[in-house]
Amino acid sequence: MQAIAKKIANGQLVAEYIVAEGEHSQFEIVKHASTVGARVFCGSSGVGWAYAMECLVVTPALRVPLVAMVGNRALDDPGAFGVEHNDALFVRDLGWLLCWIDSSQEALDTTLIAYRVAEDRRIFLPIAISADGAFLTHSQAITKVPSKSLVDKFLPPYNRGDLQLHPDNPITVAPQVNEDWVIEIRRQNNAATERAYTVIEEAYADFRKVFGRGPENPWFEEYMTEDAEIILMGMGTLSLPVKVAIRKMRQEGKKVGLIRLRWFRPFPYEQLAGALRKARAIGVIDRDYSFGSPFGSGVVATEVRAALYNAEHRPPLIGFICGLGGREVTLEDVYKATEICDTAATAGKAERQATYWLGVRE
Amino acid sequence: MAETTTFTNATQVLQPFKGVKKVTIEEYFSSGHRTCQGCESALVMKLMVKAAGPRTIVLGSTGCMYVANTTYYSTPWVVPWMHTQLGSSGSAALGTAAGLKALMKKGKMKAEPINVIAFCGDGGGADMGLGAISATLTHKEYNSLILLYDNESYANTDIQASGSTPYGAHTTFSPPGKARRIMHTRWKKNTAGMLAAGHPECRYVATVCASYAVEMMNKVRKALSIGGPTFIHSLDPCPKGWDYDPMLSHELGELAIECGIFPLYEVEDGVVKYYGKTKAIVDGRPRKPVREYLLKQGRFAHFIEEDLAYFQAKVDEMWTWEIPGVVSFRKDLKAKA
Repeated sequence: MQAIAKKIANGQLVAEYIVAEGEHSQFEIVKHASTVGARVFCGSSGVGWAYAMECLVVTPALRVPLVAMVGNRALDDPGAFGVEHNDALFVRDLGWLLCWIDSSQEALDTTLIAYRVAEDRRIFLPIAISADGAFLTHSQAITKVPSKSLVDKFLPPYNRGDLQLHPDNPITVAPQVNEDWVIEIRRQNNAATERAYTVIEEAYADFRKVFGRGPENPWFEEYMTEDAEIILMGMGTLSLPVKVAIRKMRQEGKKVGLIRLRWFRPFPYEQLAGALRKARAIGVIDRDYSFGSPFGSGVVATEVRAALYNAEHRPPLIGFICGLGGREVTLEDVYKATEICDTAATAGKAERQATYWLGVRE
Repeated sequence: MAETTTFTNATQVLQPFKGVKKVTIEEYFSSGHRTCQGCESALVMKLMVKAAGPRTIVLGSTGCMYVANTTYYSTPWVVPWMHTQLGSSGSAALGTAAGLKALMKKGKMKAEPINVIAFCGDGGGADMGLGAISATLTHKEYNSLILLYDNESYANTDIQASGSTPYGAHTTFSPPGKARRIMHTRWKKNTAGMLAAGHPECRYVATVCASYAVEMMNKVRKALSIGGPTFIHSLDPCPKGWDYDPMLSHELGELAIECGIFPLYEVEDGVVKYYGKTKAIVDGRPRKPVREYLLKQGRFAHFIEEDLAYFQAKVDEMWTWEIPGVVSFRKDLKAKA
C-alpha cells in the first residue's frame, strides 16, 4: 500500500486514493466504487481482515470483482506478525476465489490475472491474493514489470454492464429476497465459481501468449514430482525450504516431490487427483489450523483428503501442522515429514494419529 | 497520464423551493413499498429524493427503509438504489462518490454532478456506523449526503433500544418491570451536534423533521449543493415503536420541536442557525412541557411524575448549553471570575 501511495503521489498511477478508518469501511468503500463501474483494489491482513468480515461476505454475494491482497498474518490473540493462513481461509465458503503466491513476480503476474478473471462477466467474483506475512510481504526482489501496452492487450477495461449503478440505469441492487429467492441466488454464485475453472485456464493461457512467461498449469506448481514416491504439499513460501530439503533428499536417493497449491478456490480437485495418482504417500503441510476437524488436520489436508475420496488411487495422506505464527519451516521439519510419509508408504496406510505438529517445543 | 476530461468537482445547483406550491411534482420514491401506516420515515425518503431530483444515487443501510421498501420483485425507487451494510452508510457514500469521480476524471463516464445520498437509521447512524460517517465527513473532496432517519429504535427487528432511544422509553430491550421501572437509563446521543462540532471541514450539518416538509427538503437541497460530505439528522415519529395512533405522526413531530426535545437547526460553515419553532424558543418563546409529548406515546406509559420531572430537567439543561440544544459545553464561570 505504501508503494502504491508513492506511485499515486508521483503521478505514475491515476486513481482515487482513500485512507479509510478501518477494514470494515475499506471493503465497503471499494465494494460501492466497483458497483458504479470503477476498478478497485484494497488489502489487509490477520485480524484486520477479520474486522472486515461482514463486508467480505457481501462482496461475492453482490458479484463485485474486487481484487484484494491478504498479507497472511497470525490472528490475535496471542499476537504475532508472522504468517498463518487462517485469515484468508475465513472466506473460503463464500464465493471468494483464493490463491496463494510465493514470490514477488508471481504477485504481480497473479494480480493481472486476477483482474482478468474477476472482471470476466462470467465470473464477477472477488479474488484474494494471499502472500505470506513478513516472509513475502516484507521482502524485496527484482520483478519484471510489463509495459502498459502489453497489459492492455491482456486485460480489457472493467465493464459493469447492466449492473452498473447510475442514473441512466436506475436499478435497485440487493433488495431483501427472503426464502423466495435466496437459494436460487446462492446457486448462481456456485455456478459462477464453477465457471472459474475454465476462465482461469483461459487467462493463464492468454497470459503466456501475451507476456511469454507464466505457468502452464495454473492450479499448482509441481517440483520433482515426475517420479516422486512421496509428494509433499503446501501453499505459499514454505516452497523454498521444502524445495531445498527435496534436493538434499534426492541426493540420498529419496524420491520426494512438492506440489505447491496456487489456487485454493476454486479447488483443483480433479487436477490434483491426476497429479497424485502415482504417489505412494502424500504429506500435506498446513500453515493453518482447524481445531476439531477430521483427524485434527489443517484445512488443506482436509480438502485434499476430500478431493481424493472418489479417486481410484488413494495413497496414505498425512497431515502436518507447521510454521504457525511465522515460525520458520526448517529442513529438519521437512525431513521429519518425509520420514513419516515414508513409513506410511511402506506400511501402505497412515498410522491412526494422522496429523503431526512439527517444530513445536514440548 | 494526464487527466483528459473537463471534470470539475461541482455539485448540482439546487435552489430552495420557495413555498409548498413551488415544489416539483415528480416522485422518485413511489408505490411498491410496505411500510407501516403513519410511517414518517417513508415520508422522509419520499421528500429526500424529491428534493434531490432524478440525477441521484441512493444507498440505504440495513433497517426499516431497506427491508420494508425493497422486497424483491418490487421497489419504490425510481432513482438507482443499492443496499449497504448496517454500519456502512458513510462508506457507501464515500465509495460511490469516489467511484464516480474516478470514472469521470478519466473520461470513462460522462462528467456531470450526480447526487450521492446514503441513509441510515439510528442503529446504523448513531450506533454502528458512527465511525464510518465520521471518517466520510473528513473526506472533503467527495460530495455526498448522509441522512440519518431516527425513529429512536431498531424498529425493523422489533423495536430494540439504540443509542438514540430516549430516556426511559419502553422498547423490547427495555421493558418496564416490577423491580425496575426504567430499564433504559441512558440519555439520547446528540448525534448531529457531535458530528458538527467534530468535523470542522464538513460544510453542512442539519436537523430536520418531516412535519416541516418544505424546510426539510430545502435543507436536503442545500446539503447536496454546498459540496463535500454533509449530514442531516431527521427525527421520525414511528407509530409501531412509539406506540401511538398513526394519525398523530405529524403532530408528534411538531411536539418534539415545540417541547425543545429535538431542536431544528443547521450548522453551515461553522455558523449555527435555528429554524422555525426552535428559533422562536431561542428568541424567548416558552417551550411546551415535555409531558405533552411523552404522554401521547405508549412507550412512556409507565412514567410516573418523577420520571416526567427528570426528563423535563434534562431537556431544560439542553437550553443552558454553550450553543443551546447543539453543543453541550458550558463555560467555566468560576475561572472567569
